[in-house]
Amino acid sequence: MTAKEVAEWDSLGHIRLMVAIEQALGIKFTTSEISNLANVGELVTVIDKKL
Amino acid sequence: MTITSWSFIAFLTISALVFNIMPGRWRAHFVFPATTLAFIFLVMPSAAAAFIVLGFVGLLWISTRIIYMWPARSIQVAVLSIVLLVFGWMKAYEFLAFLPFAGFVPATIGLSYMLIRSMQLLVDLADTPSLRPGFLQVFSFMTSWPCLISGPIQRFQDFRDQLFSMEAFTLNDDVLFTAMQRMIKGYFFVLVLADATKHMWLGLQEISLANPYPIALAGAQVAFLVHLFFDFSGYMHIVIGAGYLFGLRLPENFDHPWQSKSFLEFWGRWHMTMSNWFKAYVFNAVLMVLVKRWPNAKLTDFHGVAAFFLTFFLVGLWHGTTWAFVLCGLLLGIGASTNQIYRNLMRRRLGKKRFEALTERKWYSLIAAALTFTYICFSVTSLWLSFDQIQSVVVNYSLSGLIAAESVLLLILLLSLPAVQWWPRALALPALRWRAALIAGFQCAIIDAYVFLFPAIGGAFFYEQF
Repeated sequence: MTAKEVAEWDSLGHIRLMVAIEQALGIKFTTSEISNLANVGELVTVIDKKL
Repeated sequence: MTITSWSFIAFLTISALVFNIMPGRWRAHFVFPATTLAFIFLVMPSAAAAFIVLGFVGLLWISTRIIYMWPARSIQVAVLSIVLLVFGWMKAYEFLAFLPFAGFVPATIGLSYMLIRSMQLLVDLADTPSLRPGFLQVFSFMTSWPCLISGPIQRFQDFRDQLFSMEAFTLNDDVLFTAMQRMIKGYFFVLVLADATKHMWLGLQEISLANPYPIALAGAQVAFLVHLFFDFSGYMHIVIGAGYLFGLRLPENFDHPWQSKSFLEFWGRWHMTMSNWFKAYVFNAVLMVLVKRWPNAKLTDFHGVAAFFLTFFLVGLWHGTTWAFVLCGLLLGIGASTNQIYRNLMRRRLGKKRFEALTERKWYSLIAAALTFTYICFSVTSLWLSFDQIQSVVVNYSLSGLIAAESVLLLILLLSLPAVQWWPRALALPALRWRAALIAGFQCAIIDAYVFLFPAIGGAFFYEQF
């Protein structure tokens, strides 16, 4: 699933989600990861690597 | 040497020949850096300026080593601050005039683009120490000659991948054809269309400054933006085409900007690599700080507006060193944040889907596009008028004259944009090779005729000064 497929998705929602994941899982995304994540699958892969 | 000179054509021909004749393993490690070094000394206004550029590369190399060896956050911040300060000092920003030896450094070309590349590399290196670039990679990335003067802005990771693939690159017929097609289109844009619109812009500028004449001021504003488009996008076609000859696939910088229906959409279509860079390294970073500091979801709209304002203020500041660019930054920041406030209000009132459906309606998109370009023309005035000239325009025209000028500009755009937006759709024919060759031949013929009729053409690219 990509951002375009979610009706209410925007860059602000994206950042809020990143911050929520960081705080909930105690991980930190890089600048590059935050900007280049293309879909939910990639997000899961990045989180898996950090846990 | 300029990109439109015969000396550049000679440089490109010799460089491409040597690059493609040499064994593959020599290309990334020797031939490409050597061509870049030669380019620096050919294109910089003086030998001293070339050494200044090399000094800045040296500073970045030392910075990468420090960040790699001492990955503490405080060290990273200190290194980034020092690089920024040195850049500000070298560029002689007016508001850094208090620094010792301010204005002492010879003028260079492309330093702002080098700063952006260096910031990207240092921030990503701090995040990902395994990136660890070698000296030749840093040198080639920072000064890569197709991107040195005015971009496009490429990420280090993408550039390094292409550097690695240079060894296996083969210059075949298709690649050569595409390269020539892009370069001819670029030269047609720069030598003919940008030059013709430059004459219009400068003529109207002269009239509008001599007397309060709103029609001339409106004409100068729109002519400048059209000139800038042909000048800058033409330059991009040339360097992207030239990059093909060396196995480089540079990112595109323009995506039909005249189709934009909002200020924020415009910046997603114009100078896209710069916009993407500011989004990744400024907008997202500012937004993360705001969300972490004030996590209340009710403040989301405020976070977005504040982040857009700061990001676009810095975009304006990045473009130049004088107080006029501080003004430009403020106007861009106001434009972006106003657009975001409007978007928030409309989404709340109509919902995202209904708002998007509204933006697709012809009458709405035409009015929105005309208002967008009126504001863009207005906000970039400081790119072509000095601060003193802007003050004199404000005094001479007074508020009523300025409103009249912007109203004329809006009218011009309302009448011309439908044709401008329809034109690319009408010409979107299947990409056949014979058709592309015919168009390229036609463009060559027009360049030849234009140069014959108006021999005193050329001059530096507008974005070179940044």
